[in-house]
Amino acid sequence: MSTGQVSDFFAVLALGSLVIGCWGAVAALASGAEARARQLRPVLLPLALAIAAVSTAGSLYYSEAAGYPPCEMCWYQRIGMYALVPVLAVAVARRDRSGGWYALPLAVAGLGLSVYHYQLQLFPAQGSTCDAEAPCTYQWVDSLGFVSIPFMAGCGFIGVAGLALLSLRSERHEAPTTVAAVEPA
Amino acid sequence: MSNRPRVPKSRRGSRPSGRGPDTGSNPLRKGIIIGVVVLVAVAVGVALLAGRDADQRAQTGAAQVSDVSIEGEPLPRFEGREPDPAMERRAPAFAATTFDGAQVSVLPGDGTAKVIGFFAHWCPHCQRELPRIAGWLAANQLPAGVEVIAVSTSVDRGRSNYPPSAWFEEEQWPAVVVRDSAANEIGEAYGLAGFPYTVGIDADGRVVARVAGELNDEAWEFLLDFVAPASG
Repeated sequence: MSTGQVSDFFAVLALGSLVIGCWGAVAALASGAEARARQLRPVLLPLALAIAAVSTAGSLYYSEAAGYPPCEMCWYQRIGMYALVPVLAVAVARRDRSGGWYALPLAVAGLGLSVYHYQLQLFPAQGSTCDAEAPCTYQWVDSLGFVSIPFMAGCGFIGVAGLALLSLRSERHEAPTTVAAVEPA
Repeated sequence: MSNRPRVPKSRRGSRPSGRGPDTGSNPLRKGIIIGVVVLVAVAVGVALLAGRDADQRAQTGAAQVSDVSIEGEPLPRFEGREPDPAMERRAPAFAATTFDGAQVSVLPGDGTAKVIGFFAHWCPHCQRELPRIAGWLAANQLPAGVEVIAVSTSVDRGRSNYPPSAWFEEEQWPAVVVRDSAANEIGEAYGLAGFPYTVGIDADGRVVARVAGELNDEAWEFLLDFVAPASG
């Protein structure tokens, strides 16, 4: 399988993550979000974990297998994406519904970096030089005509953020799980 | 107010076993799972159907890199520090070949001042810089005693705008262009750190200017005048 084919594979997954993330964010803000979130609760954070894990695997594929050296902006995004994997894994393993609170800031910060990096690729004239080893402006991957590596990273962050946001809606309306002592009137 | 004791509902106690949101299945959750499976299947299908061969565009007759020989101490890597530690140092001499295979020797200190530009075919800034300089060279006369040499370096067939020989031809580069080696030895010897990269060498072979980044016409003309031997 060529790097181009692998890129197309990741590009489609990234677009799927984008759709899932946008849907999650809209579903979290729309009316009836609590009921929806409670219904989906068992799959929200595991799905976010899967997105972060696949994004991490993709990132490692490009640097270690395809031989594309990560640029400075790539490293900043890696900080966010790689950290999401253990954070979400622990949240899923412990069934900690508040895991979304820890994932959300990483995903939002990562998304900001991805947006900046992607526009840097689209409009390289903001600088005047290309680093000889790993220029941030260079687009290593151009799948489907517009999907580059930071674009994919951004889609991954949106997917995680949307799912984390929706999972938090189920947490907010959680009923107490312990029976309170009977109080006399 | 009733004086019956109030007992908060327990989540587990209020629903029949196995029918709660965490334990049973529901259409929304099924939809998500099916959607993810379909997404992965589509991704695999697109990757297999696309089957692109990135090497197709790399078909070219001319070798894009070639052996080079270098003599002299390499210049320190250009970090943009002031003052530049390479100033007044003797520039290394090198022998390389053009895309046609013609031998070119660049001998700093041979009485001709030189402006050497390093370009990478995939660098978007080089892609803007090269036609601008080519246009200037086509429309203007170089100062007396100055020559311009381009070095095609950091060649990578997996990157965009490959091959560089076609790029230089398309841009109608009017001056000499030589091929760097696969290990970018000329670039290394001149302290290359970023593209485009321009080194000015006076007639005595000393480095008098190093610039990374695009040059506008004004900066380009200043550089040429700066390296040119003083007339009279």
